[in-house]
Amino acid sequence: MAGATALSLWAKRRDMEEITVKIRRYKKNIEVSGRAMLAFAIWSVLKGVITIALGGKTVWELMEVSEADKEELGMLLLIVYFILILIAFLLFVYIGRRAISYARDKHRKKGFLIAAAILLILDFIGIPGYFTTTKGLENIDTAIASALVDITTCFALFDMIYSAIRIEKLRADNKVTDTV
Amino acid sequence: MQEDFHYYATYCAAFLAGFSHEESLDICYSAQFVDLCSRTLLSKIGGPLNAATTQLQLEMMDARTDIIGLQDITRIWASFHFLPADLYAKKEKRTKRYMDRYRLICGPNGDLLVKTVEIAKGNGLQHIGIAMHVLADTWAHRYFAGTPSLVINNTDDHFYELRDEWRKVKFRHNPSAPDDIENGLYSNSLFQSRENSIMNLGHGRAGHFPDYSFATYKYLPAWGEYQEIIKDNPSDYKKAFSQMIYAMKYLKGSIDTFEKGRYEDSVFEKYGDRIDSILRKRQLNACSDWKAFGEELSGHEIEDFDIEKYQEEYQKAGKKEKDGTYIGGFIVAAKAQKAMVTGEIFKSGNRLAGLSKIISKGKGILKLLKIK
Repeated sequence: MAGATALSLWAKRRDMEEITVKIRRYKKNIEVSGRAMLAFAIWSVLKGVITIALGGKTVWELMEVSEADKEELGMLLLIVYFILILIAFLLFVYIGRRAISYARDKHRKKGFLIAAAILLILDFIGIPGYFTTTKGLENIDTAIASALVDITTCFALFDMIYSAIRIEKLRADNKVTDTV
Repeated sequence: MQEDFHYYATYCAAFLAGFSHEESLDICYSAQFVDLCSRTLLSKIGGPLNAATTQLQLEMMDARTDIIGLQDITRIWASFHFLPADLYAKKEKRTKRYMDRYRLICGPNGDLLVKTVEIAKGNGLQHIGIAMHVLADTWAHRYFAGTPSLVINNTDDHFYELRDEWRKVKFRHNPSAPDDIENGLYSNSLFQSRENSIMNLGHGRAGHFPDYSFATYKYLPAWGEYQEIIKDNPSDYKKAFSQMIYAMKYLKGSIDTFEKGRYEDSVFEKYGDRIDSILRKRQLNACSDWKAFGEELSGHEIEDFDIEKYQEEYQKAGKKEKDGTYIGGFIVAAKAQKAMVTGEIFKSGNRLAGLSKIISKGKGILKLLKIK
């Protein structure tokens, strides 16, 4: 009887250890995805700046603004362009930092996952656009590179969301607090 | 491990194993000398550079990390400080490249330990000292490998020390400042994402924790697949001490065989509390406590370790007399140990320690290495 109890306790402890290991793995996934978001944040700014500096097109040409609109709203459109870049940057940074804090148990709120889901959807929808706007083979290399980056972003965001859901499920199902 | 264990504790173990005071001094000197016999020192005294048993930090800064350089580093560190526990360990779904590194993970009671002790028998006190250094380090340095490898030796921020409770350790990267153990300030090597960076050699990523006998800590080793390792140094060091006594009894001839997993626990009946108190005392260096214990045991004064003690003897000896000097004997023993370990690693199909060949004894040919 005592032996059976001891065996049962040992099995329970082993199961808890396995669950803790799984939670650690998912947390590491979230942390790595969070770091990826920080890298993409820098990339989003660089992309915007390099496109203008070396892309051979002006901001207005990129936004396909007519001469008339440019004369009337030129400065405003320029400001809007850079604000959009800034918003993208801040969004990536917010998601990235919150993900890393969540993975390290410094922050338990999961609001960043909503932002991650929205970004995932927007990114995913935007991928075909690289190819529909490309005329012939002229900028196919740029389109492929940009698409690959966005696909990677989508993967990292998906992994982050999935891992967070799995962690919460494991904690709830097994009443795990995974404290030190 | 540090001088407190390699020198003074080894002296105590040697004396308890039945060696005389003078023999124990020779053994413990050799054990400590393993941590100091670098190419720089050998150059200074005119010794063969391939007998180096350690590498200084400055030497490692200049070390190459291409395949030749890595083999050179691995030959030294795996042979003397991170003796592999199981050269034929198995792990599923891993490439050969990974397994070559995984199989170099150090641990106690491996087959190589038995060979290490056996080849020391009848080959001088210096060889016993080297064997004891290697044996002791299998306990302290377990779970790390003597080859630069991120996927084996890395640690992350999940690192806790047991004080009155588990406390998170936050490392700083200040190799010049000593660890502040009272305030929990420790140094470790810088994170380097490159697999073969020197920063990923041995236990650098865990700082000096493996060398502190008082420390109990837990962390996630890179090879551990998110399983936590709890390292209980006081317990491991106790085992190292009792196993050294057992090994030296065999080497002295008091017992016939050396088997892995066996210890001389009888020593703790009389000295258990004393040894425990030394091991658990929270201090950077336990030299004075071990020294006091050793002097009580033998009734003799244990001279402090002097790196230059035998250098002049070696330098002044003629070419044919060098092997007869103390350092000459150490060099012969070091070469034998290195040859044995690198030969076994090569035999297991692992090229991380380079190539090895067996030179057989025949008429007029000197037998340098014998592998069964």
